[in-house]
Amino acid sequence: MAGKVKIFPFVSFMIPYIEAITPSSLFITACVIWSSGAVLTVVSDLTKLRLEDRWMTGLSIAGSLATIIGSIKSYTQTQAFGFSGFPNFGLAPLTCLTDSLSVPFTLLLGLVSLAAALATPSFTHTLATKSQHNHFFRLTFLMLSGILMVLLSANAIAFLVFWEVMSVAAASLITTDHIRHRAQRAAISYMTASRIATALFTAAFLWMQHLSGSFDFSAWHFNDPRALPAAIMLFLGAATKAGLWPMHVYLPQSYAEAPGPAAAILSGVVGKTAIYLLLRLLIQGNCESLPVIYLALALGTVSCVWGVLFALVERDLKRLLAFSSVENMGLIVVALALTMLARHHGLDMVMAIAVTGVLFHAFNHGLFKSLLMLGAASVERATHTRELSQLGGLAKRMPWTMLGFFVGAMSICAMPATNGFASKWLIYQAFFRLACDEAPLFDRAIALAMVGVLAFVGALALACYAKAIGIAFLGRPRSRQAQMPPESGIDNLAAAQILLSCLCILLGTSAGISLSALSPALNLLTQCSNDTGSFFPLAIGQLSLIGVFLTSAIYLIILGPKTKDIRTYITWDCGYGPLSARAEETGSSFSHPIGRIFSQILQLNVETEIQGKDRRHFPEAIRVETKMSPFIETKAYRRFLDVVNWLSLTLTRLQTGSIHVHLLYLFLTMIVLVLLGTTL
Amino acid sequence: MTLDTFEALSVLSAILGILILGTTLLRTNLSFYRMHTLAIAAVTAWIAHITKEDHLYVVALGVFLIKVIFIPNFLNWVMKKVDVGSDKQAFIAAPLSMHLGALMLGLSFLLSKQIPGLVGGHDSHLGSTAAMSILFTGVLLMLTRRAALSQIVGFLVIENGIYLFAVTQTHGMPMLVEMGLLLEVLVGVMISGLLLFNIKKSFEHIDVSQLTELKD
Repeated sequence: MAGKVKIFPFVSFMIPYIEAITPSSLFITACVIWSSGAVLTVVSDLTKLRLEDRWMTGLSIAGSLATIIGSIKSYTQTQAFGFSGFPNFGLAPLTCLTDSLSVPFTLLLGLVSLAAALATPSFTHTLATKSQHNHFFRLTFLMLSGILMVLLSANAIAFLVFWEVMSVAAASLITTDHIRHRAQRAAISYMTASRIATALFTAAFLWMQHLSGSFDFSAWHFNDPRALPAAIMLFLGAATKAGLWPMHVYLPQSYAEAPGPAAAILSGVVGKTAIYLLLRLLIQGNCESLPVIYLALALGTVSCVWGVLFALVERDLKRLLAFSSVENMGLIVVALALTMLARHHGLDMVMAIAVTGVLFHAFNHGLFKSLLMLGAASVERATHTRELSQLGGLAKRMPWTMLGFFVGAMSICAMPATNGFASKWLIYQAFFRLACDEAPLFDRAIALAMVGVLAFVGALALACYAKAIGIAFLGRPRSRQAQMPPESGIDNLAAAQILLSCLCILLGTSAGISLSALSPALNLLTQCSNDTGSFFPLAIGQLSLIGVFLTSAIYLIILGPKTKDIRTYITWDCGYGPLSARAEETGSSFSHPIGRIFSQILQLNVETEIQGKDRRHFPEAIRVETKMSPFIETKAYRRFLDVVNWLSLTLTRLQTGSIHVHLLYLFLTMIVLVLLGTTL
Repeated sequence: MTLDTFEALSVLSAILGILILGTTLLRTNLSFYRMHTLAIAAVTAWIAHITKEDHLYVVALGVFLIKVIFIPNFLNWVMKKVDVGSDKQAFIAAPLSMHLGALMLGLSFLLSKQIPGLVGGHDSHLGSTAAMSILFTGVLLMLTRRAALSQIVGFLVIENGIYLFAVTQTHGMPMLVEMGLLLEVLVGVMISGLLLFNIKKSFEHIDVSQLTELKD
């Protein structure tokens, strides 16, 4: 130690100061760094200053690191801080709180934004003009500071302000490539969903303010029966933001159109803020009303099944990932509902396990979904397409992307030794425990049924990712676009993916330790002391170590000497010689059997037309067309929009253009108003 | 029921207003409008006398100068320039619309009973009856006539109704507000007079029922 002090006298001089830094100052630093980046882009727009991508990426990384360190520091200390002066929002000042509940989410934000920042240069070099660069960086910075402040806000008004900053920045980030019609549509639907969520939140917040007389989150208690409407509105708003069925329709569009790094943040963190809000208000506020619980269970379950089914039949890689997000959000919300149900019945153990499952799965999903999104961005960058039918054989050309995508897919399918396994295992365990515990028969039956639903969803998710990897990475290239030159080493994008993959594996193998780290958050939420590490007794870490050791031993001792016999050859073609890529199985054919079973839900129609004299044996031309019209969009939303359009068109007939008719309207309105004024 | 002098004057102005509806000759219309506004100016002066609010005298003088002298003269001049003497083909025949106006007077009497007084003790039901009746008269005038000039007169009558309501119910707004309103009416009338020239020049007529392009 003495030697170290000699070598780094400067560092040892700094140590007391570093220890004295509070989490709040670190979070403020992160926010200031990001906001100053946004300001810089404005300056650059107005002047001739040209911002190098390196500087902006550096700023982004600096902010992410400050957030990560701040989260680690606030793990041990709860700190409330506020600004009574300048950022005052009229109804309430800006007050913030960092406690053990916000730690997992700020840490997730820091990690995902770090990975996204690493990946940024790979995207920005495709942007042609300076203003596009500035637009992208400005909105990314705004969104990041918005998310950070949303996670730190301690009162409703501050929350709403930053929520808006985050949503608006996210929506316009989607339109980075605003020339494309699809990006415009995606941004508009994202904006609509955000509007609905904000409206519901505002109504719920005002309701709670009326009940409690305060805008502070800590003053709100949802175990009051009068708070039920607020709880329902809050849940629906969060469900819209998280993308639960039937409010999920905007998710595939917006995630698919957003630029790669932004899509990683959107899918990884932005959706989780809704989960954070539910935890902060409903769980910490002791919500245990049955209508909310059953609503959450129902929507969550439908989202699980719906999301995974649509992901399975999807042909666009990024849309597939987005639908899979719907599934995972459903899973998290189901666990959240289980938490409330367990609290309702007073089952502390089930509640503790379920809420740990919510926290851990939200964190893990943030990691592996952003990893998969970056992988998809990497594929799109290399091949300029996201259509699975155009891809294929990427494993040989993009080994690093393949590795990252594979780890992400393993995690999301809950394979052992990855973090997804640990969190899904907790959710299963919670349901099993409820089924065997002292609860009413109805709830136990639901819990048992949910186990079945989860297993079903898990199997379909496995099929879905088997399809994604199999079609995109294995086999032969299906188009000229997929036959690009192999990727050269580890670039920024690959580094970001490797970072996230390592985190996924690390969290999975050390599940017990990382779960213990969630204990303070759990104790804050459930008001009882538990060691979350004990919920996960499987020795995954040790087993994987043994596995790694054994595998390397086998490789070195048995396979090692034979390495020279292994030769590289073209993809195996069953000995038939050169096969065409068209003989391969396509994504649609892979998912067709399952799509056929659920064709009622998916609205899947296959039209086959065979032409020729003797059509059965000697067809001349075969035409097969698969049509899928998403049920919710065509049956519910489209109808609703049709009604709105019809009403608007009908109402324009009132506008005749004649002065006399318009005067008559005025006159009648006046009479009605006078009558109303005198009678009421 | 005893009629205060100012209430009697307000009802007189309402009746003179209804008489505007009774003819389609624009010149006669303007003369009636002149008398009708003169009655309103008298009401203002009388209220100034009762409440001892001296600024209302000034307002009355302003009303007299602008609305009784200047505006009718200006509109007479416009009428001669565009060479339109009467408003033919009204949607509702003049006698009928006059009777409608009388009916509206009754309706406003019923309505005004329902309106709670604005100034305790001083509120006048007959004043608000007259004001509302004038309002309806103006609307009827605008609704039933075709010539753009009648629209201007109708607009002026509506404005008079609102003014009378304010003056009888609140006993005068601040001087600045009243003067501002007067000036606004003056400017509005002058602009619409100039617009009339342009309409006449472009379309060869001033029939507003044929101007139906007022939509998207």
